[in-house]
Amino acid sequence: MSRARKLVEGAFKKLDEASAKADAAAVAKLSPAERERYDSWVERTAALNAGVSEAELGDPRLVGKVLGGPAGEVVHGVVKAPKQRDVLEDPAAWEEQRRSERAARDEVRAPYLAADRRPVRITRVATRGKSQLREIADYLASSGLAGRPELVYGAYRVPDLISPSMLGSERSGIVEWDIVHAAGEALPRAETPPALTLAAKDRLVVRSPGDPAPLDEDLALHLLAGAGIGPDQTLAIARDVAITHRDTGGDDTSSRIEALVNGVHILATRPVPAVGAPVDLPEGPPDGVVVDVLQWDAIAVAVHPVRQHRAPLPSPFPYLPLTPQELLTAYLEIVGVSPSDAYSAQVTHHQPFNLMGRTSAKRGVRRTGGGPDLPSADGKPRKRMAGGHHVVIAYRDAPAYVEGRARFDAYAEGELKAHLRRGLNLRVAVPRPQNTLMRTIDRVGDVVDFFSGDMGVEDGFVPPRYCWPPR
Amino acid sequence: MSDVEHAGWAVGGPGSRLRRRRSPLLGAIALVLLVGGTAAVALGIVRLASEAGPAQERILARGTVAALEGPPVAPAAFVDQAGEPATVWLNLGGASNVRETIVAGTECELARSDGSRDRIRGSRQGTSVATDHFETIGDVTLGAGRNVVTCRHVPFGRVTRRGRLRQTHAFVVERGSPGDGLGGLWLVIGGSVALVLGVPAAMRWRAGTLEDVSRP
Repeated sequence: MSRARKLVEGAFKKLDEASAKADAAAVAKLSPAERERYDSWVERTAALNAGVSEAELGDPRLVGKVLGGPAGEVVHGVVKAPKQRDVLEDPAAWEEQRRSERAARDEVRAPYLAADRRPVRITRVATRGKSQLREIADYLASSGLAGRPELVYGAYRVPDLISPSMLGSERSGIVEWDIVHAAGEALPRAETPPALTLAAKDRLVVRSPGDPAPLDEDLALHLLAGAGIGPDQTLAIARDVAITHRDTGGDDTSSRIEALVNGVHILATRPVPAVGAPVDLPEGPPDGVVVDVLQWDAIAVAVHPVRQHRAPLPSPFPYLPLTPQELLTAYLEIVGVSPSDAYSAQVTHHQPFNLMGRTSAKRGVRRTGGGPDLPSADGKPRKRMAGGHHVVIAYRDAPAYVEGRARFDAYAEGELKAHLRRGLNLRVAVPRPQNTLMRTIDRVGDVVDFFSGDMGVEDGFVPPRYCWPPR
Repeated sequence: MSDVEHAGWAVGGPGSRLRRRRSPLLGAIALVLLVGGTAAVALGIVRLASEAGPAQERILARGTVAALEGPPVAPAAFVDQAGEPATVWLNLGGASNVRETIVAGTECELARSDGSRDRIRGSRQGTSVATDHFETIGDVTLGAGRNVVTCRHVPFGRVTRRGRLRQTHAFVVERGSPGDGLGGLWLVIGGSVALVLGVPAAMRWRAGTLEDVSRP
């Protein structure tokens, strides 16, 4: 081999190595959801190279997506959405149809249910936004559930916006809470449970840039573990979700109705000590505790396309759950989670989520009004904008639950044709804060925006919760 | 079976130790602010619509603005007391940008009986008032006895856009200053302030305050 050829080959080898290094660095920077998607494509490519046919692998538009099956094909544009005729408008007929479809789904679900499952009841109450936590604590006491935490799976603020066209913030408006429990009969009044709220903007956890940001439930669970409070003494770990009207400037996206997580509430029968100095929290929940997060919004896009309306019935995809509460119930019943092991059961949000995205059947139309008045917890029908992005369940693990989760996965993938843990993007790496120069440039930009009339346009950066700024 | 069971309000039920109290005083204040504010704004708009512009009983004289490069026209003459303010209004309709050009291209002169003169230029008004059919040219202080107002169109803007200045327009001299017919504006401003205060007051009233009834 000539010397020149050796040199060229050596140079190519070096180039290949450098390219592989750059690729690895780029992959390492991907968010968990991006990484999942990347891996899905790598896997698909490898399968194709191994001789698996395209037909066996399915449509590439469904790679890495939550929904597969008929709903996934429609949502992701593989096939055209079927024309929906005869959508029921009459509330009574709608309810009858809902019951009939639900009964059919319950039948499909029955073989997957845990043998020793506990009943799951969801009681919905109305509160005022300003005093919601105090009110829910009082309700837990007056209903007696606070005295029987072993019957409570969890409680959460219903992530729907009620009366979206009303002026003012949610502080004076109506905010509903769901209490997920297994109590079958009336209980005697109990003491009002103490509540602790951790603010997402506070630096409670020490993290370095690149470390995974803590999940709300991780932090709450570690605090409870530190205080020696088990799930049988815990009533709820509930994210503090606020829905706000925001004017972000710009043209078409000037108005946002945004669901934001401002922190987390912990309700237990014993007081939970507040966090003093920032703690060096391990990644994930404490040992022996499961925090399972499921995608709901991906299903909602298929079964409840317009937030202000009732979900269209007959459902275009009757095999999918119609509400996040149905999915939550299905999880608890299939895994067989006992309320005495449960810390948290929620339908909630994670990242800032714009509810305006699906507010009309017409593409590109965004509205706050419209839709029928729907039942509220206090019995008064009101306009409603259905929210909810994730379903979160936290519980003490047990061998039976491992089997239960396998059953749930089989149910989700087999019956719902869905991969509900895909693309969750949890515990993302903490970004590096801007240096002084960039901050100065940003401030100058803000001043320029102020004088150019672009005031109010936001950069969209949302710092990770409980750990910003990093060390 | 429905996914959720509606159980009413969290507080105030059997066993609840919290009661929501709403202050009747705050409710009354909110109601007064909202109702009063709405009424004031509505009344203000009605007054503005009906009173803005020259009122018939206050018109001192009528005249014609001479066209640009056109023959002179007869001045508007009237008798008045010294020191009274008066406003010259141009009788005008059409698109606002055209109207602005015509107003800016109008110049009037007041000749008092004592020989003093004042020039009123449409292009030099500090503030102007426009209604559906009238626009102010400016205001002036009248002299005692006979006052004569002469108006003419003068060159303004690009040559190609001076067509309307080559026409005559009617004008009136009204006793008083241009803002005399804008009393309704204060009602609109006051009503708006009441509404701005009334909305949060109503919200605060609606949210109420929670009281622990178990405490003595």
